[in-house]
Amino acid sequence: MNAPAEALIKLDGITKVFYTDEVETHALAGVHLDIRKGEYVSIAGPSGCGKSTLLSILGLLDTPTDGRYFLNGRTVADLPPSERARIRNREIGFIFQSFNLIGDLTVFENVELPLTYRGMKSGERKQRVEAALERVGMAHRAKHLPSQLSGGQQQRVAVARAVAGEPLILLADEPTGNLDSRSGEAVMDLLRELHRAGATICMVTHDPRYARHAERAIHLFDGRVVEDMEMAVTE
Amino acid sequence: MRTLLQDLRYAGRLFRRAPGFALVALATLALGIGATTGVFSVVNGVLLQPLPYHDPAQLVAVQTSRTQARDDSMSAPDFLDFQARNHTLAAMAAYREDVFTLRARGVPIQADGALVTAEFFTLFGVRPLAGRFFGADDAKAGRALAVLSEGFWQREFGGDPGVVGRTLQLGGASYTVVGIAPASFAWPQERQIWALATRAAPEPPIATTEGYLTNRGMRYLDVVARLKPGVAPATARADLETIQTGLARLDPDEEAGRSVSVTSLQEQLTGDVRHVLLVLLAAVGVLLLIACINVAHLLLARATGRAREIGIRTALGASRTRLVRQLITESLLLSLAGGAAGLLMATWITAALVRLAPHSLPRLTDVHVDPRVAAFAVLISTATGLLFGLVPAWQVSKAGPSDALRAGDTRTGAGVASHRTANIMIVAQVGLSLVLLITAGLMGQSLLRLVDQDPGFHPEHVVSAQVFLPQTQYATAAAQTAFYERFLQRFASQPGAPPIAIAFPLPLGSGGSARASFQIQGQPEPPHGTRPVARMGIVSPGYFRVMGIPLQRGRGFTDAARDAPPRAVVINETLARRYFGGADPLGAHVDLGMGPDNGPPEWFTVVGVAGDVRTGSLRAAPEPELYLSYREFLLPFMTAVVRTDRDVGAVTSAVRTAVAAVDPNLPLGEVRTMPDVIAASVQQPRLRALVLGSFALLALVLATLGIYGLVSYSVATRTREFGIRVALGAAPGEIVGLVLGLGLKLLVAGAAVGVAGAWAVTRGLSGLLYGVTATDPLTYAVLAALLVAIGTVASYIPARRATRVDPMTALRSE
Repeated sequence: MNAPAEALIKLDGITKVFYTDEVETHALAGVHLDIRKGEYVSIAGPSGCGKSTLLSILGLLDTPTDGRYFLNGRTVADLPPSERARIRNREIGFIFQSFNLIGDLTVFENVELPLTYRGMKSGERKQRVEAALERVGMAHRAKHLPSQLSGGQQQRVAVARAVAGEPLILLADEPTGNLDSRSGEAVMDLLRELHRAGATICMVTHDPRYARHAERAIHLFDGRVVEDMEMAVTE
Repeated sequence: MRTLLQDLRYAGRLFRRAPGFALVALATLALGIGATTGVFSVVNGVLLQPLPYHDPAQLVAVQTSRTQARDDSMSAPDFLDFQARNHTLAAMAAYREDVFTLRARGVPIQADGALVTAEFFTLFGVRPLAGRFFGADDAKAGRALAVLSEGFWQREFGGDPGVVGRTLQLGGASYTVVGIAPASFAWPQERQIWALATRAAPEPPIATTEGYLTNRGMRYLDVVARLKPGVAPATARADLETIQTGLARLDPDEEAGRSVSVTSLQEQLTGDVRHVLLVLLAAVGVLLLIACINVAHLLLARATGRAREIGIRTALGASRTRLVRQLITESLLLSLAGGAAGLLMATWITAALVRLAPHSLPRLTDVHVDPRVAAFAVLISTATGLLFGLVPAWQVSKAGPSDALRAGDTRTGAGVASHRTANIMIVAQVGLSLVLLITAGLMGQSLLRLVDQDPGFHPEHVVSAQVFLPQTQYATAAAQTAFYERFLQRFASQPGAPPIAIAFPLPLGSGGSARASFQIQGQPEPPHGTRPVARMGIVSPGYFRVMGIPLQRGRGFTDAARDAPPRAVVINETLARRYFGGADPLGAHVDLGMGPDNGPPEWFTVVGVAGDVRTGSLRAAPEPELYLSYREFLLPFMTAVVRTDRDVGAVTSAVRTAVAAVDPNLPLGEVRTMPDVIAASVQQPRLRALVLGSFALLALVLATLGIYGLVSYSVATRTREFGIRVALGAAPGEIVGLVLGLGLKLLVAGAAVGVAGAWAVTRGLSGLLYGVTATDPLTYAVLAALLVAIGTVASYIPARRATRVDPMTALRSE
């Protein structure tokens, strides 16, 4: 395990309000949060507490209504769409509950996609994709389509896609939610290995079994951080 | 039956629930079916409906012609010989179109008519609306009888039944009206009066000192015949060829080398327009196909969205056939409703086409939406319903129930197949649209080049007025010449009278033409019957100045030159170039064969060389042409041309005053400005370009909607994918590029198909083009680029929409 370093992510009074007709919904209500490089953080909380909204804001998929967001020391809350896209592509890796692989692309092409957006040369892309697939044990399935894989395999490909670009942080939204327990465990093992190798991971989960894999647990309730504690990691 | 009703009820409910979809689909179908039915109504009226005469298949036109000769009219003695000696014709009649003058409602008027032989009406087998037609006894007795058309009778005599039996002065001669021909009888086209020839054959249109019943060189008759029962046209032709061979032995100068043609009357009437109408029908058929593809695509998109419903039905035990039937019922309901709206639209389109069509288009009065047209509309509605319904129905019903029930989760096999089918349809649609666009583009270019063509004269500020003389009253050349001389003098004597001249034929007018064979003195005499032939213009002094025709060399006709031998002739540049080579034609002597047979030549001296004029049509290159003074040779069908800045009404009044001063009973014929005459001469290509252009524009709109619809559909079904791409760092420009790329790929593929299709199809249109080749690369390139550009713009709208996909919403949509 790496020693915690300086804050990679710093949220300062982040709020998010959704307006529907005349109803205001406060999804996040003044969240203060620091995530340091090399940390493995789990975010938990009941349904509707703001977990996914928080992850969207962390992943620059959504903008806060108020508050400041520093990523790697730089404020990113109000960047234009193209700059946000650039940061998402280079500094953030996503792992979704429903894998979100593109059905028309092969495993290799799916993993290659973020590198293509980065404008990386094809030789380097190939090298990185092969390495990422090797890392998740899916190199032998590079030419397959997602529909030819099991759920667990698809999620491993999604992890490979997330790490291929060597992002600053991996954001995982219920990564085991669509998997059976065996496949879920395998994916969690994979994340743990990535963390050991230095990856910063922020994972939303409501499954306490998997939350225990993280070294820090944050509990959200009604859009606020109500608990933030260091954990003893179970092996 | 019960399940069918159930399907119909369900289909109706679906359309009520999605009124936007139903409206767009209905409008598209109504447009396609309406346009197709409208054009079909013209094809039906002109080409398909049998002529409204008894046993019309047995009616034929008989012509004789020499190879490459343009005149296929028949001489009176030839007609009489064929009539007397054939074994295959039940009846044979001759006629000559003429213009009659008469007084109606107190004013002199001009009526288009025909001089016909006694067998004429009997041969057609029509019944008179009132009174009777002519008979052999009338001809034998030499009675001067006339039949009026129903339209003329109604218009000029208010449908008074008392007209039958009344005497009319036609061109100064008395004719008794014996009957009224029904409106359905229209042979030749647009005739108002038929007068019985008082001798065995109608007299010729020009005053002649020779017996026209024996002169085989004077060819002016049209001949129709009825085949004996069971006789085919080919058999009749062989029979008449035998007679023609005998005539060639009898009079080799006039008859050798002539061959007989026997053509069905329908073919004779519509042969010239058949190709054009079939091209238009094919074009509108393509438009309908494009409309079908659009609706099929709409249905496919909609049916894919109904995959879950289809899955439930399948899970509940519905067979694939049953599902297809239900979906086909829906498409048929849609197409029949579209067909009903299309039929309504077809009545407007038909009326518009009839209004726009040139008067020269035959059988326009037979064009209307009748039961056959309605049946056609029902037929194509059903066919289109099956066509656009079957593919989506088959496609959707192919999905297994588990696939369908999971629709939305991932892209199922059927979903991918639907996308592939939709892509193929769009490629086809773009390709077909481009074929139409290129066809219309070529036609449009032809028209532009045609109207840009220099006619060889300056039409601006020139007004033309027909001044036709009735032969009965002006029977001799001297009388006719005297009339025109006095008319020109009276016109010129009016204060401030503008320059005037008379001419036959009027360039680009529709009043016929004259040709003469000629021989240049000093050049070797060609074998008999192979003398060169030139167009002949008969003009008065001042004609070239009034028309703005440049005299390249020498002079035109002058009053001073009258009767001063040798007689003067003016030739055009083409004749000078072709027959004089580099030699100076001025002063050369030309024989026009106007002297008596076997007599010495009558030489005309070339006094001037005029600029080339496109006399017959803007399309045709100028032919050799020679001009004679109206005092040398005259036809009683002269047209006055006046160059003036005054308005047409003032010119008409001045011409009418001059005519009335010479002959108060003589009506003035059609008055038109020369720009109008030119516009009328290109009416058919203009209509072709207009109709095809409209079809192409509609096709372009439909194809653009198709591309827009497909790309929108693709964006809608790929929301999640775009969400993933955005999450992975795709910039908005990359998403736009991705979506545009999809549209562009299909557009380029469609354009390639279209170019290949147009390449193959437009070769058959070469005959309709002018100044542009059927494979003009610029037209192909510009229109393909235009289509791709418009399609790309259409793709851009949904592409922009794709960039606004909320990634979190997209990624969470399960």
